[in-house]
Amino acid sequence: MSPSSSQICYGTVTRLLYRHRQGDSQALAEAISVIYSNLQQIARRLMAGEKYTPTFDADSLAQEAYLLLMRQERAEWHNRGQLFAIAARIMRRILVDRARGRRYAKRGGGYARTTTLDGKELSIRERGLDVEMLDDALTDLWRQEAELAQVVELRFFGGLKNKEIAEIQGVTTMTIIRRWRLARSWLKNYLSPGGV
Amino acid sequence: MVLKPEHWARLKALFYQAVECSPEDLQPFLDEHCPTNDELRPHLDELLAADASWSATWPGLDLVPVFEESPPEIQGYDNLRFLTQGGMGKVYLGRRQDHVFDGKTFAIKVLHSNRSRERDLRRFDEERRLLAELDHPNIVRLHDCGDLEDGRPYLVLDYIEGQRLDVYCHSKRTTVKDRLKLFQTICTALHYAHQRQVVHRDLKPSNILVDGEGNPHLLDFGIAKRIGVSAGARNTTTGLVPMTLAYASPEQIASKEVTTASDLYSLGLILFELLTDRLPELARRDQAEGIRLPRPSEEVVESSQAVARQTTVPRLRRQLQGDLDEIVAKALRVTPAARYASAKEMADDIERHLSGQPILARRGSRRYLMGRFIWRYRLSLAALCALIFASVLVIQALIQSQELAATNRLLRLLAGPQEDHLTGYEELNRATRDILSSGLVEEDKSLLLQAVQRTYSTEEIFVQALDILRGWEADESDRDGRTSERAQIALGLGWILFHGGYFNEAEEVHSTALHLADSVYERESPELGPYLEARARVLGELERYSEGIADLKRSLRLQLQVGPWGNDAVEPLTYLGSLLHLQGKPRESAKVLRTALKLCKDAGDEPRQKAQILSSLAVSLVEIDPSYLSDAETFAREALDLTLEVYGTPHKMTLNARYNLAVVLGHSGHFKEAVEMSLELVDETETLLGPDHPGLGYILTGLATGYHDLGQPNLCVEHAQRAVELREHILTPGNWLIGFSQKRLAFCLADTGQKDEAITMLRSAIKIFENSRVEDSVHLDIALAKLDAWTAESARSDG
Repeated sequence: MSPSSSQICYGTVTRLLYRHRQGDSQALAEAISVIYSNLQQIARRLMAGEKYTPTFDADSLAQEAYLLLMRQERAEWHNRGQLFAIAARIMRRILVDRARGRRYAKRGGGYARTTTLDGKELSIRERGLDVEMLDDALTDLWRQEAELAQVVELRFFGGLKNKEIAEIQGVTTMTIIRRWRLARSWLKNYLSPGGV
Repeated sequence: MVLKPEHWARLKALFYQAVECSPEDLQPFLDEHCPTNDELRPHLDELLAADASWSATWPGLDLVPVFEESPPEIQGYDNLRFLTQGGMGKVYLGRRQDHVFDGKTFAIKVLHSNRSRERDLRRFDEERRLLAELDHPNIVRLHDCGDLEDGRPYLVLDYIEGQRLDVYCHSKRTTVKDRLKLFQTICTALHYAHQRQVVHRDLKPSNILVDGEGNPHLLDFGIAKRIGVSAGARNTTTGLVPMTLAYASPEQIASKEVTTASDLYSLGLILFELLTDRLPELARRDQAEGIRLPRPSEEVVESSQAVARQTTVPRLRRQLQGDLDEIVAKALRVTPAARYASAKEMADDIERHLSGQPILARRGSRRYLMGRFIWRYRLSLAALCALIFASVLVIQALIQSQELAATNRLLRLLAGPQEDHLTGYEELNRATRDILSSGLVEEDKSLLLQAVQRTYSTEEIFVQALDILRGWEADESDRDGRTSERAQIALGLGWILFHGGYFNEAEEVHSTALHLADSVYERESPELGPYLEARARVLGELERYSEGIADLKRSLRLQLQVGPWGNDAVEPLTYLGSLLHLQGKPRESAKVLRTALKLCKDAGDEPRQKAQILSSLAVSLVEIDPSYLSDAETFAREALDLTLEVYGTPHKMTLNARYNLAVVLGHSGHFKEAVEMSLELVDETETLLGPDHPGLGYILTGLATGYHDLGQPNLCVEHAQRAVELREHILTPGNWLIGFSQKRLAFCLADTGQKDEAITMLRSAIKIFENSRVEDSVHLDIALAKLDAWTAESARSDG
């Protein structure tokens, strides 16, 4: 993903939503399609290093997110920030659900797909991060200060850059960098052994 | 574990400050602000430790680093190393090998290898050409350019060793004043480029570098494009330009035409950020005009913002309130034409702010009322606003304490002539005392006192006042039998807003007041008169003459229900006369004003009223027929005498009366006297009311007419041009008065033999006349006749 392609995609969504507000009924569907390609890229990044399995490939993750996002259509989309924020939230939910599913399966919950997993978790787990724990941590951080948790959510699950997060939160990139620094330190302490 | 909000806020502030300390400063900082016995210290230590050791942890949470390829080879330069990557290309540092620049380091910008499509190449070419023409100490210079062996073009630019604007200001803890100075330099550089028709199109803090001496440099005219160059290309490419949306103007987001005004919007956002470290939410920017963006002063919420500017939160907020809020708001108008006319104008306004003069952004273009100069000096406006706000609070309290009679008294005083405001203020103080001694609970009292003591921004007054009003509108069943009192209070609030120059809001409030009054009084009750007249004044200000005239006529009709017109009819008749004149109906206007004059005489000739009627009548008469000229002159002179008697000199009312006399003299053939008088008036008006006062538009147009009559066409063109420029600058586009000055200019141009320019100018004036709300205007008829004559003449001379 080259930096510029995400930028163009980001701008395109704004224009499509602008048209949507002007009454162009096709524009919203187009905007979500553009986001789909973004979702694919996020999914691939999150899944990087994962062995291909029918249930866990990146495209299925993106598709699931896309379908959930399309279902949100009843909501009035006013801005791209909202759309990306919800996309990130959906991504987080799917990943956590899938992780839970795996956990239950391992405990003998009866999921057929366990057999294909051969003990491998999401690649992020390999890098020392458990998605369920991250989810819990974010929920707590959200209670402490929602903006900080949102920075993490948008970065990690939404694949957005500081500049784009800054637009969504209506602050400067500098502020996002500071928030990110605080949030990640907080998360690190929360998640490290003996933390919390 | 979730910390208590107050602990968290402190911890956060400490963390943000600590991570910016250099290693040697950190320990002293911690000792001072969070010593080891502080209960938050363990938390802070943990966070700082986590921050310090972050890079080794979870690379998955951080973004994938930019893939770095080996630098290309460029002839004449060695030691190339990768510096950074932008939307258009990569930037390398390189050293020049030849003798002239021996050892000097340059920045070399190379287009992306995988993005060498035709569009990029074309745009890159353009950048080369544009940059080569720009030679300014605050714009990065282009030294050289060429193509790599693989065909990729490159530019060799000055390498500025510095920090991006936001980082620079943040790390230096630059004060607001120094930030403004820096910003002014940026404006000046941009203005230089704009004068050469170069629009930057992608202004943002990362495109502005500040060098070691504190001088800013504009970078990356990467997508700048000469305005108007190949219109075809514009249609296809604007939507695809990879601009940075965070600093984009609404028209850029909507893929509309991009002009210098778009850069001014980006400048506004940069200033917003320099003042607050924040930006208004992007989603709110592409909305229709009228959506209110937050003001910088409202975004000052964290102590870190103040610390970064070496001040405190309340001080910073006060510093931004008023001028700076308005300057940013003017730059961030949705309509490009409503923004500053140039970057220089914005820089000048900041200069005015720094030197304590009234700023341009606060002079509304609609604050002009025919025959009355109601523009106020900044100080008196601010004082008035503070008073209004305080009174709105008192009114609320009075309503709660069922003191409607006292409220009414107060409102009537505040709505009266400005001289009465002092009395109003005393009344306000008295009312405040009364409330405090009444049955209000202690908290309410202290809240009220605090509020009265503080000076609030004017917008908050609207919110307060309009909220009250909207509540009333919703509850019109008159259950408590107090609707008529509410209507009167609404009327008073409308007047207050009107006197503050907030005409749109005043119109809304007056309409509500009328609506409430309509629901309690009988349909044809003369009690409705004051409501109609008040709304008519606002409508006149909003140039909605027909509606204003309709309201006044209805009010006058209602008075006839109870008997012949008396003194109460004088004011509405006088104003009706003004509106009819503005609408281009001098005959009707004169008829109405003569009636007013007669009624005024019957009621004892109140001098202020009489002066106003005579003044208006004089200017209407001269436009009807030459046979009325001697009457007009008599009236104008009498009006001036009366005005001098009542107001003295210098006074804006006196200026107005003299202007009217000059107009009449000009029409009566006393050209020399008229011109001399007008020249004095230009000077005095500029001194007394400022160089952008709407009244100057009248005087300059009149002066042009005078020179025309004196047979000095060149001076005529000069002054008419000034009038047109001034009016285009301060009035809304398409305003009838602009057309009026354009018509004058067209006639002057024709006198100097510039027929083609004259015809173009006259067509523009006609277009304005035709599109304006002014019906059956004599000016339109004259202009159309003249245009016919001129075009026939040109056709003959061509043939």
